[in-house]
Formats: sequence, C-alpha cells, structure tokens
Amino acid sequence: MGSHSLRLILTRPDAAFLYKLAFPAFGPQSPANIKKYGGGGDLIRHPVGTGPFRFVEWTPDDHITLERTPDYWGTPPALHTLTYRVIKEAPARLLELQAGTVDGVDNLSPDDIPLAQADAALDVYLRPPFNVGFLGINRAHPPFDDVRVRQAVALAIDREELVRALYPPTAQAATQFVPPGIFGHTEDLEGWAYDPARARALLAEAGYPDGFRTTLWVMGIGRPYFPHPDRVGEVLQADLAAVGIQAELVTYDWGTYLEKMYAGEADLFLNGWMADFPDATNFLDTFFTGGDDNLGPPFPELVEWLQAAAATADPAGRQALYDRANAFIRDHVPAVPVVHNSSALAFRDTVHGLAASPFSQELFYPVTVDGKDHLVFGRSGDSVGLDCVDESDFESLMVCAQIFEPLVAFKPGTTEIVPGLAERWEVSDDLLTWTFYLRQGVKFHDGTDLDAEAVAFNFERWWDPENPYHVGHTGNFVHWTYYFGGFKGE
Amino acid sequence: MARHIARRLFLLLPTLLGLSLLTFVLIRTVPGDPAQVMLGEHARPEQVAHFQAEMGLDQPLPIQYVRYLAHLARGDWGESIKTNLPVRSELAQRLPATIELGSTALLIACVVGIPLGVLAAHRPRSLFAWLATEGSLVGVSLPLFWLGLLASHFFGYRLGWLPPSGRLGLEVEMASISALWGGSPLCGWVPGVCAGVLSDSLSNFYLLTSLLTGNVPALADALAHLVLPAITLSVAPLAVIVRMTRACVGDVLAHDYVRTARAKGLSERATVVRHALRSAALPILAAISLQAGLLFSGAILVETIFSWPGLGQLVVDRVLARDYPVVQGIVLATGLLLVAVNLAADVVYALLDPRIRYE
Repeated sequence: MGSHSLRLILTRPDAAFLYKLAFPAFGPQSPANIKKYGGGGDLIRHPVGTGPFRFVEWTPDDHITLERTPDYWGTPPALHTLTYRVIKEAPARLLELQAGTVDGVDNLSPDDIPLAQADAALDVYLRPPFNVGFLGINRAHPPFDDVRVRQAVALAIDREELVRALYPPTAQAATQFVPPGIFGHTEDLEGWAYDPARARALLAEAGYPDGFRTTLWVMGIGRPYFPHPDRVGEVLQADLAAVGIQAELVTYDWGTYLEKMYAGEADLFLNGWMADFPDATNFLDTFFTGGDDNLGPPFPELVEWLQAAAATADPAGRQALYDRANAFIRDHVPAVPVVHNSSALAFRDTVHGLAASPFSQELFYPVTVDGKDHLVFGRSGDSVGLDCVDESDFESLMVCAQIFEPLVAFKPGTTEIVPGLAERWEVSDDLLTWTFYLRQGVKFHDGTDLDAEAVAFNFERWWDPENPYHVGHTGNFVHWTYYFGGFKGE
Repeated sequence: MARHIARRLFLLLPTLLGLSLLTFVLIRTVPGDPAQVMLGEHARPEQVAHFQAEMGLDQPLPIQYVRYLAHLARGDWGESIKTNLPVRSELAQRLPATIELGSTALLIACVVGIPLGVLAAHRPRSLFAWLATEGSLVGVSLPLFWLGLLASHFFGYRLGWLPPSGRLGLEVEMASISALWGGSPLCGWVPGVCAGVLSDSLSNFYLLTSLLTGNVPALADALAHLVLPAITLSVAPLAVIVRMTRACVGDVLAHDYVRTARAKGLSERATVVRHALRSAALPILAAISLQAGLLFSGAILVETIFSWPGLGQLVVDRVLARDYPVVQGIVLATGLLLVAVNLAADVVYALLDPRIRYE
C-alpha cells in the first residue's frame, strides 16, 4: 500500500473490530522512541504519541503532567497544561475540589454524589452505566447444578430494593448482562421478579425444603459496579436467608479474590464487568464462551450463538442471536445480573466542554477552564506505566488516551466511531479485509512522521512475540490477546 | 562505648537476616499473585505463568530466598515487579518524604509534650494537670484517619489556611540539591552524589534542599504542606510523651534531694529543670525512641489521607500489588532505620547518665 494507507487482514470476521481498534492502548507510538528504549525498560515512563497532549513529567504516586502538543494536526487543545494528581481517599478528593486546589476529581464516593450535587460551585458528571455487577453461581458445585436452585436464587433477590438502598439514583437494576445502550442489549427482556414464595417452592421441588448452607464471596475492595461490596453481600445474604439459603460471607483482597474465584473455588460470588468497547461480545463472550472455571462448564448452544453473532455483519441478524442468548442466560441462570451502576466525576463550574466517557477515559482536548489554561484532575491511583498496550489498569489508560491516538476513535462521551489517525476506511463484505487511509502531515511528539510504515511497525511490535521490540512492561501485551484472540502464529 | 556500638552493629546482621526471612515468607504466604495483579482480569493462564517464570516466582521458595540474599549481599535490593525500577531508587524517592514527616511529627511531640508533662507534674492537682492528662488520653484514643480528614477539612477547606493535601505545590520548582556542589571534584569522588540515586534521595528532603539552596518559595510551600500531616501524626506520640513526662517528673519531685534543692534556695525553675527533669530523662527518652517505631505505622494512615508520597503509601500500594521485592525492601529499610534510632538512643542514655557504661 502507499505511504499513508494500510491494510489489515483478519483471520476471522470480527463485527466489533472498529470498536476494538478505538481502544486508546492501540494508538501508535513513535518507532524511533520505541527503538531508543529497546521496546521496554524505561519506555513505560517516556511515551511519545501523536495526541493533543504530550508527556512532560511524572512524580510517582504524586502527579503526571502533560502539555499541549505544539503544531498539533487537529484543533489544538485550549489547555496548556493537564495534571493528573493522585489523591487516594474519596473524601480527600472532594475536599481538594471544594478547596479549589484541583479542578476536577474522578470516582466520587456514592455517598458524596448528593453532597457534590448540592454544591453550587461544582458540576457532577455521571458516566453512562456501561457495566454490570452480578451474582455468579458455580454450577460445578452442587446443589447449583440444579437449574431450579439457581432460579430460586434469582427469585430470592430483591434487586430493585438493593439498588434503591445502596446506589445513586442513576443506577439501574439489571435484567441482563449487556447494559442498555450497548449493542446486543435486549430492550424488552423481563428479568426475574422478586418472589421469595416461588423461590421456596422451587427449592422444595429440588429437594431442599429447608434450604441449605453455602458460601457467598464478596470482593475486598469497591469496584465501579459494586462500590460497597460488603453491603451488597449483606443484603444478598439476608435475601437468601429469607428463603432458607444460609450463605456464609467470604472475602479476600482483589488480587487473591480474582485468582481463587476464576479457579472455581467459590460457590456464589460477586463479580462484574466494565465495558472496554460498546458491543455485546465484550460482556457475553467474556463470561459464557468458556475459559474460566468460575461459572461451571459452558453451555454448548450458547457458545455457538455467541460465536455466530461475533462473525455476523448484518446488525439485525446479530441482534436476533443476542436476543436469544440473553433469554437463554436469564432462563438457565448461570449468574444473576444485579446492577448497572454509573460512576461519577465532579468538576468545578469553571470547567467546560467535558463529556463523561462511558469507558472512564475522558478526553481533555475539548475542555476549557475559565480564567486559566491549566487543569488539575484528582484521581484515586497512579498509572502503572504508559506503554498502555501492555498495562492493565484504568489509571494508565486515562493518561494514554490524551497522548496516543488510535486509527479510529470514539467521539468524546459517546460510543460513536469517528476518524482518528485514519481519516477514512473500507471493509470487505466478509469483514476480513480492512483498509485504512491515514491523515497526511501528522507528526509524533518527537517530530518524526506518522505514516503507514510507523503504524505497521507498532502492529508488528504488538502482535509478533518474535519482534525484537515486543518487550513492553511485562511482555505479555494482554490487551492485544484479549481483544484479538492471540499473537502471530497462534 | 565504641565496643558497645560495634557489638550492636554486629548483632544487626542476624537481626536483619531474621527480618528478611520473616518478611520473605510472610508476604508470600498471603494469598494472591503479583502476576495476576499486574496482568489483570484479561490475562490468559499461560501469560500469568510466563510472567511468573520471568520474575523467578515459579522457583521453590528456598531457592528464591537464597537468590535474594545473594543479590542483597552485593547491594542489589532487586527490581520492583510493578514499575521495573530498582528497589533502591524507589526507596530513595520515598524514604526522605517519610523521614521528613516522621521526624517533624516527633519534634512537635517532644517540643510540646515535654513542657506540658513537666508543668502537669509540677502542679499535679491543678486544672491544667487534669486537662493535660485527660487530653492526652483523648489524644491516644483518637482515630488518626478521622483526625486527619477533620484537620484537612477545617484548615484546608473551611479556613483555607493550608493546603488540604500533597507534599509540594504543582507550580513550585524544587532544584536538585546537587546544585550546591555540582561541578566540584566531589562528583568524581562519591558516585551518585551529583546525579543519581544519592542526589535524588537527598533532593527529596524538600525542607533540607530548599533551605540549603536558598529556595525560599519552595521552603515556604513545603512547610505549609507539612504542617497538617505532621501535627496529625504527632498527636499520638505527643499524648504518650505528656503522660510519661508527667509520671516520671512527678516521681522525682517527691524525692528528698528535690526538697533539699528547694531548701537551699534554688529557684523552682532550676529545681524542676536541672534536677527533676534530668533525672527523669531516661524513661522519657525510652518512651520517645519507642514512639519513633510506632510513627511509621501511623505514617501509613496519615500519608494516605494527605496524599503524602512516602513509604507509608508505597507499602500499602505494593502489598496490594504483591510487589514482593519492594515490600521486602521497605521492611528492611525501616528495620535499619529503627535500629539506628535505638542505637542513637543508647548513646544519648550514656551521655545523660554517667552511671551507664556499656560493657
């Protein structure tokens, strides 16, 4: 192809391909810079992209400073400086915002949302609820192998009341895994209604008229979908006890929890998912196509529908498959979806132009602040590293989203795909061949040119384990394998 | 004395060895896996296994430990699993922040606590003595977390006198301390003193660096940021020091020789300070050196509330990330620090009390 066009050929069709490419971790980095650090080592602290902001400095656990890219190819940002400050505790973040020492903060505690909304000097932004918190059920552990027992669990839980009592008003009780607003959500699917009497009847029918004892696992830290997992656990425990299921609460810190839960050690457990891209594959394939042991063996028919849906180009045909899958999951209850929660940001009212991102990756290039050209954003943790294709934390991604630009992008605050580094693209009917036409005159922050060769250099580095620059932070490039299914040669 | 110090230093070796073994085993006994934490929820099992192998975490524990010791003996504290930085440079960045915070807190506790305790002992049945004693009881019992948030709320937000959190304003420039001797032959003689770990770690003593380089705006800003966390951290040791001083000085004041001192016409002030306080100094000093150890556990909370980028925040972050090498490094470094504090206390004992002879 020419110096500014690029063809990507897939080995299997992927209807969500553009959504995946828009992930900020897939923004190309300057090949000269990658070579300078040998593809790893200190590269994670010296990112060089093409984005509206470029990296300036990083004091670990304190702040990261970015500044406006000179001669940016697009509309230059109004902000000259953008600083991410680490303020671990939610009450401390709100204090700093009220004191005016920061201009915006991430992850308001749910208890603080009404407080911040009542403050005339602050604006609260709620992210669309692109996540799901659910109660997982391990079918490999009897009596949960009996569908009647699983249905009884679903009937025993008063989701509406739980969400009303423990969540901000914008949260919704979930009827299915795919949140509303994401392709593959079934609009009129009815979830299980709260019906303890029917739950008890089903348990009796299954041979447990007096209920049984089990464990309910609750993660040790708050997640966006379960900001207070301990309280959710207690409410679920009480609901289950009311129909005779005596669940003992078990908890671990997050790392241990994930490890043991995915190894299939839990009976009932809290878990959840945050959207990486707005497509049902991101929610359903993750949990129901097998691979992990936490929900028991996969359902063959469900796996078949999900794989067919992922390879179907026609939206109506895809939606029909997802409707079938969503109803199947409801009826067979491998897990009970509980809530779609929205996380909240707050900014001073002097800040304009910000759109809350459904993926927690707010873009700051359209943002202005009255009377000054710098913005300080307080957040709960530091980035781990800024070679984002090989990082797994949100705090790294939200910074990378300002420095790097993927081929296609999400319009700020939406799930709409707009041109990124590629100004247009074409796709073959079989969804296998994608051709991208890059913008002319785009430069990396180190002054080198962005052309098809530079983009190809990055793709080669990401997907070829034999590539000399496939080093990264841990060398695992988890985002790549997770999004695209494997490395070169697999 | 010199022999005593030499012996203590010699005993340091087995102490640190024991400490390192204990930390090594304990942190690995805690369930959880650094590979899983680093790679996140999307990692495939073979990626987790690959990462473990790369970090040597798949080896049997005794082999891992011996390897760790061998590296340590060469002065290599290992590399962080989370940031891939050398542990020594992570410590060099963070330890100064914690030392600055801790020593200021201890200084406040002593400067305020000892006079309060002496005054309370001098007038044991006064309202002041009652207030000092009961107040210190409240001080020991106050949850640091709550106290810190309250202080930050009132002084940082409501009154707006001091920054609510952080260590240095974003707009403040802090020059490297090596500006003082940069270009001198010293750079050649001491490795890292002009650019590198040593220079970085010295420069991270913000008060010292800004003072020595005559950077007044930076000094003022660093002090303003230090006030709230240091006072919060000082409350618990302050309370202990007040109670200890009151009790010890009170005991001494009841002795005959104090009565004699008063009888021969010595001023009350001289009696209390020169006779009573000096005699009571040893147990007070012992209490203070014990508080130095407890300060570190307090610093974990205070640093988290005040976003103070020190060792306390680091240890929380890295325990959760199961960053074994850094956690081991932190425990070893604080262990060394505490041994140094105790050794210093021993020396001061001998200086204060000529009867003490270390054999």
